[in-house]
Amino acid sequence: MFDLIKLRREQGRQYIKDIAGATVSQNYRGFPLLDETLCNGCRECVESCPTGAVTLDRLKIDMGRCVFCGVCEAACPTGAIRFSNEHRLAATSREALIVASGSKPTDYLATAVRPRKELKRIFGGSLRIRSVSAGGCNGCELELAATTNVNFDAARFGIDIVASPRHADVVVITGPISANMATALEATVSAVPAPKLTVLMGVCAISGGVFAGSPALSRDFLKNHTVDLYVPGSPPHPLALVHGLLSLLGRRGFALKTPNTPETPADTDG
Amino acid sequence: MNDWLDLKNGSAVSLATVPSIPYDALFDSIRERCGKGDRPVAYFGVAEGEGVTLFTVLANDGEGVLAAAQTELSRGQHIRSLTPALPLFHLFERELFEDFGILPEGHPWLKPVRYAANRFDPDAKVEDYPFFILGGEGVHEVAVGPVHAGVIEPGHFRFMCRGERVEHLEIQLGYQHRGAETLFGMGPLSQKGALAESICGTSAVAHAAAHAMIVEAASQTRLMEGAGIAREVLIEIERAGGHLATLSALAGDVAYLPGNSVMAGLRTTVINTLLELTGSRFGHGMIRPGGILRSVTTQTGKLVRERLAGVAERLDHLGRVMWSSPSVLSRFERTGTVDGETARRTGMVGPAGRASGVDRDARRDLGVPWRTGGQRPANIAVCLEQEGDVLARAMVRYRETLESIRFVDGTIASTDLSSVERTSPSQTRNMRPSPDLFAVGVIEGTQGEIVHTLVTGPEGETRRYKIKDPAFNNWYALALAVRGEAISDFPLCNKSFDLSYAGHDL
Repeated sequence: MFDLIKLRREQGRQYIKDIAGATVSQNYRGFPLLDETLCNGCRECVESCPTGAVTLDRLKIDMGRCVFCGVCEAACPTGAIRFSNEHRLAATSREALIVASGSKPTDYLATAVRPRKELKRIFGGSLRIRSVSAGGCNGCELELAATTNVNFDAARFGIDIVASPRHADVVVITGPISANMATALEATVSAVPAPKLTVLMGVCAISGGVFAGSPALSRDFLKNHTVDLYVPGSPPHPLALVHGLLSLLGRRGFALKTPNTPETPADTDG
Repeated sequence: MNDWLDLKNGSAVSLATVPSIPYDALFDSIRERCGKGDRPVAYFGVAEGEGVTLFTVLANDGEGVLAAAQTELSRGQHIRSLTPALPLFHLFERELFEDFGILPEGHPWLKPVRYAANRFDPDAKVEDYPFFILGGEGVHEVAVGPVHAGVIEPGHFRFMCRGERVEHLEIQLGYQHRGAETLFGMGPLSQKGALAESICGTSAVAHAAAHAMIVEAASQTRLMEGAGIAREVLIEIERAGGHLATLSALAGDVAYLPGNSVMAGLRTTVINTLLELTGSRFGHGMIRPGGILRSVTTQTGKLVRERLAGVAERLDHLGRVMWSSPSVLSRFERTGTVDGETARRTGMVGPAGRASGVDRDARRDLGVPWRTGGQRPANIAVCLEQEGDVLARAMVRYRETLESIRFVDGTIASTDLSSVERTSPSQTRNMRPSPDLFAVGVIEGTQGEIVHTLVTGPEGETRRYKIKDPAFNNWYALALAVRGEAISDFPLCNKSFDLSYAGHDL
């Protein structure tokens, strides 16, 4: 028993105190910083992108298609494409995920998640997640599970993961929605009592990601269900999911936060 | 019989040099070779109209050599089944049947593999599948999935129980099928790195390395040794992070919260070193055909060593307490045992196989093409246990984690990774596989050996890109492991294998 106490003391405190303002490593590929004035039209970015997320009519990156591999950044000879370490990428509309040249993380954070007042009242103190992996590779699933670990500790905000859809408030969908999971996904979501929310976590859920267009997918579910939150990434950082959910609920301190610009000192928490 | 083509891991050969043997002779030859200890790492068909060319690659781990042969079959043909004499072919034959309707007569249970989108029988549905039913007094059926209680991938488990005791488990997968192999065939193969990283999330780096290796071999691009060593470092960090996630979950399953919490925290530290090196917690976007996409600075190398040294120390402290905890040992020991004979006969690979005494590790056995002279990777110990229970599978992972950290530390200390030149996306894009080629690459991923195989056509186009994740070898062993166990120990057994559903379903 004393060994256990010693072990416990060695752990110290590992939870990130200020989740809202937490920063991640400078090297993290987050919100894209696009400057089309630097673009020389070589199209290396478009040729390199595995999902067609980069378009060049006007330089844009669709974070709903982006896998954040950074190959476009590596390919760009002029620095027109760079990735900031801004990890808080959730949005309440699909259109908000399309980043244009000159877009700043500050502006994105101010507008991407539109909180809904009634959600704070209903879920502000307690939000139970039922996860459905519909063809997910396990990347997003691991990061979703990580939100309740000792570093991120989402449970302190009343966010926790439940086994039964009957106990859930929100369904977090990961994976591109394989045809073989279409029925089970529909059944699980139907089993969640209202009021309920639907979150698409990760690029595969949002657009199919690298699997977009595969005949093995069946994404009709999205035609019949409203999506309340999109969390881009491959996979998204656990902090992005926590921040996105708490912003959606309008929890105090989770909107209009200072972004992690490249000039911000690297105070790495996560 | 020596009429197979011997080839090294990560090499490409002209299709015409892969001997074409009539099926009956191939059948006898496989029986003979596998009787001596060879085993299949690839066994799949490539269709051309009604004709199907079956490619077989056998591994001789002792000699570190792969052997390839091909044979001509046709859709719907009946062949003699290898499975009764060689059970480790069971899933390969089922896959051949699902893909092309080629029926192996004598196969004991022609169960669907993954209900692939382009399966031979498009009307077959998982809802109609007749699970094995046990009759008798007091027998009851328990169905779990596809959606499971935790945050894990979906699959269906059908238990036949008497009271708490599981008499039989039948696993049905396919829910995660995304058509990955078909997508590899659409568009330039060298551009499929991101797709490779999405096959199986916990082996993203290893799958990317296998894909890169195939494209390099097929386009006659020699990978610089430094880039290859950098890849090995990333693969080992991925392994350590993956094992910590598994061990954390295992501890959680027996309500040993110190293990669960501590190791989840240690996983964060480990994968954050991948973040420092690659910009992604999962190591995405780094390994691409031709090399690595980003430089490894001396400063980053130093940081990675420091962080991992801290992880190793803390893991050791936890281990001393956890592996002497009566509650942990009483749940882990003698639970979910797979004996060595069963493990070998069913073709187990990876840490789960090594836990049952199957002394097999692609890092040591098969070598990689970027080491000078095709030598085996130096300095990595293969971790073996004999008991084959949950404890053995946990101990193998625990020791492999420490071994991977030791390898990464030693490699960064002794290799100037900052001198490794980056490749460029345009370089990768210009790598085109040659026509009429056969290439095979094996990488030891977190859960075992990953095999990618490529067959190209007359324009160098992809005729088939075949992927075998270690989940393909090991899922059946889980079904055997829980026989006779209490059903309440199923989650523990399942996690002790920690197999990828997506890797199996593709």
